[in-house]
Amino acid sequence: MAELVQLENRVQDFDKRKVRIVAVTLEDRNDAEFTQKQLPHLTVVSDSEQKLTGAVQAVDVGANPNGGDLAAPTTILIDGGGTVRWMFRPERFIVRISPDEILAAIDERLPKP
Amino acid sequence: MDTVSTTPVDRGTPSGRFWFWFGMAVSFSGIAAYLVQFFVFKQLSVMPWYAPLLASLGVAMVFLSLRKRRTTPRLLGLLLVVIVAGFEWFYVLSFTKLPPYAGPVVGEKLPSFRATLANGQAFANADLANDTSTVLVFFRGRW
Repeated sequence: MAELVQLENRVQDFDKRKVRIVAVTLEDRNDAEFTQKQLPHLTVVSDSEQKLTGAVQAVDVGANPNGGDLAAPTTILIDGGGTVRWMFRPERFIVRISPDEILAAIDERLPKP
Repeated sequence: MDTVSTTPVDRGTPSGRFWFWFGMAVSFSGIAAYLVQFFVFKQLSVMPWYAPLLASLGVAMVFLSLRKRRTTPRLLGLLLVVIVAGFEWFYVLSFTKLPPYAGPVVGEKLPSFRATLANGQAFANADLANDTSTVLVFFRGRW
């Protein structure tokens, strides 16, 4: 979740570009609420039924130490019409994308507001 | 009549001691460096290949010290650094590997979905097509 803290700290840069950040977790609503309190400028989604995470094939099956699933760290840029403009998934989960890389993708792929 | 030997007892030389301790330090330095990378520099986008490489280098150094002088502590030290290096290679090469991306690509819309916001409100496709661009970030969890 360290990458979300970095995004929270750079939220003004996203606001300038009129882009919101939606963080999706497979955790239940209680955990999502806790995360939302920690990251008040992001929109946190609880996707415990994997409806959204499954739709974008971002489920890392069996990756949770308790035997359950986890989300594969994935970043998808969607324009105001709901169309995918860019996506990123690292080869390994210890690598996370930086806010600067996402902002660069926004500047390259979306029209200036 | 007692005799006193004037020949000094050979207690061995510290041959290889430097390589043993330096190898041990190098073996664990990768983990320390990764903690600094993560917690101090907050640099998450760099793959820490250096950690298993340093651990492997440490194994070679400890092995060299064992070649110079075989002792039980050095043998146990070698066993320890081999385990550390093996774990680190397994961690970076296999354990952390993610399935390749197979979701919607550039130009496509997301398949139909319905999830829940942290505040309990519904979140569905229509919320992504409301004239506001969105960065969807899927994360592993709070832990």
